[in-house]
Amino acid sequence: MIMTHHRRLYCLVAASITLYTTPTFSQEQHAQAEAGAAIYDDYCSRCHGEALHNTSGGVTFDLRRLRPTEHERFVNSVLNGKKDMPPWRGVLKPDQIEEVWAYIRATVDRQP
Amino acid sequence: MLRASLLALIGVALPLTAFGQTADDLKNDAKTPGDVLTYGMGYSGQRYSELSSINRDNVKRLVPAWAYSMADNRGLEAQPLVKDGVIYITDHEKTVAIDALSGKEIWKNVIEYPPETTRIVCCGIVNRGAAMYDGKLYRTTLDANVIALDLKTGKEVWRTKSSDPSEGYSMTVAPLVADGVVIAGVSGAEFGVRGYLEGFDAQTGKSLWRTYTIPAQGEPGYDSWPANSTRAGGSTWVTGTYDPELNLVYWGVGNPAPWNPILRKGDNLNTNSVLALRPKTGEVVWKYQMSPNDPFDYDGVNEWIIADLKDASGNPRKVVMQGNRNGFLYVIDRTNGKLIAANKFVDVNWADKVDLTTGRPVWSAQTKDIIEHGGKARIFPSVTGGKNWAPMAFDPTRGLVYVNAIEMGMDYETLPADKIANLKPGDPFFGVKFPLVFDPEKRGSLKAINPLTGEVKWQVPFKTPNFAGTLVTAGGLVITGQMTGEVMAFDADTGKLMWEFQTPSSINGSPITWEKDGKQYITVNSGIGGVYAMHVEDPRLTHVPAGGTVWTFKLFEEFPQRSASSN
Repeated sequence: MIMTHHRRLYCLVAASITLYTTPTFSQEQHAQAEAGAAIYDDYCSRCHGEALHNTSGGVTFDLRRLRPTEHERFVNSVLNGKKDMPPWRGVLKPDQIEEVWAYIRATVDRQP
Repeated sequence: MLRASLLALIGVALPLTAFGQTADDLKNDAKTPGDVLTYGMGYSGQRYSELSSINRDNVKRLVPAWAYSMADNRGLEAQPLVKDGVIYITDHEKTVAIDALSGKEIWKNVIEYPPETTRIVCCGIVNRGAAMYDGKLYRTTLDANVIALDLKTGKEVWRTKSSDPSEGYSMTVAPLVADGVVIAGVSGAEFGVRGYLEGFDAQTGKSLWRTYTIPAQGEPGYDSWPANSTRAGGSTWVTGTYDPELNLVYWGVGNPAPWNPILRKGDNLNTNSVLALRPKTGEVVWKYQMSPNDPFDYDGVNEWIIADLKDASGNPRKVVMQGNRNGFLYVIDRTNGKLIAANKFVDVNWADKVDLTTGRPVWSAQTKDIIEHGGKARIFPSVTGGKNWAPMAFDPTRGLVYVNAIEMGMDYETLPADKIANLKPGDPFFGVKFPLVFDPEKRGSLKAINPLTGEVKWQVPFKTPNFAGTLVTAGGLVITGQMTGEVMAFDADTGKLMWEFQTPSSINGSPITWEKDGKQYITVNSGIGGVYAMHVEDPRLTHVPAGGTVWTFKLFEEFPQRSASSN
């Protein structure tokens, strides 16, 4: 049996469509999450795991653990670095950081 | 007068040789099992030891002699060195000297680098080891400095800044000392660097030469890139080997950047190639390209093992061998760069074969399509390669290489050209998606392979692929380790598991063996990290704790009587 992350991507797309049709997830949020996924791939995935699937056992932070209320803490850690993570201030723009946040929220909040 | 100066010379030379190594010591490293002075356990990089007192009959009695904490949660990928009863180990932030018999620390040299450095490190915050020569230990730093430490005290003797992380450059490579020159390479093809090798004066650290892997205007191969392309990549992050007789260094060159190939049609020389260079000058004597115009990150940096083999017609051949990321096992004439054999050692569908006459891969239909227009396809092997950087070993008595093969594919897809159109050094140079595909029951195998025929003598499957180097001994043992922490010894003839030991973290470095006072020891690092552990989803790694340790094993004996001085 071949397992693929595509299966999850399909789930993600399906879930996005569902959310897109609900009043809580706007088209704008959907676009923001998609842009965030691309930034995540380029800047974050090499330490935090492909498609947010962190199996490092705590070596790096599992971003799926971020609660919806922790936006400020997230932005602060990205800008200034945390533990072994470098500061991304001056590299990632504020709207890009918001896009990554939208990607995390779109992925996590729809989990059953 | 003459006698006086001679005496003075001897007076100067003696203290140096007492703690140091001469060029001859380095040449003979593989023949002197009391020490390990070079990356690869000998200039040939065979990782073969003539030691046999630990063997198939008694390996079940192998027990830890000691363990040492590196106090580091980053990956340990280094190969230890051993000299005069002292073990030298590096990680990303320090170098340590440990008493080889007691496991007690002798000295520690801690490195600082700016926190921004790790922005441009793609594949693990690691270091892969040191080189030793003339009383000094040479290593690279993540922020692209090369430093020399006094072997006895650990004090920094010189430091040379080679390049700058703000331009995408970093260094993780163990240097090579060849013909008295300290040679180091760079990482950063994922961040748009122009790769190079650099030679440094062993005494002063002065840069003697720099050879770029990507030609400048007017140099041969310049037109293998489109006129307006970025011309990036070609890093050199795995240590080369050295043939003192031919006076040639063999060093692998990494992938072109960005990974997405649609704006760089052409062979993209000299990415994914091997260069044969003169160590004193950096002059390239010959070169051979494995993966031209590569879309798949088939980085050509892996080990180049030097060996003397008999070819299919029975003729003795001087060769170098590499298990390439692209899934082919290459055997090349090391006198002239002519291809002798290139056999698949994992599932490969990006190329049908390598044409032995032209030396070029015969692209499959999907690769042709991707190179021509971009697009998507399921490609084997994945970007992780049929094998990653961790070096294979070669047993010259059995004529077999022992390879930790990675057996995964990917659903590769190029992103639109505008995503890669205006990249500058320091930016991420990808422009592709590559979700991995794999059989959950087998993502890799340890394989014993005849490098000339590709025949697999035996193989052992693993659910999680191994990212450790292999070591083979005259005791008939292949030593390697798992991401989940087990150090393992296999029968070199059959692949039967003879012994294993669970270390606290993960084996990502290269084991070594050495002897002291007639007893054989095995030393290996444990410490999870590197590209697979960080990036790839693998539930089997969730419960592998971080934390670097160094382990030395010996055959069980009665509980040792400690001397008063060691209390």
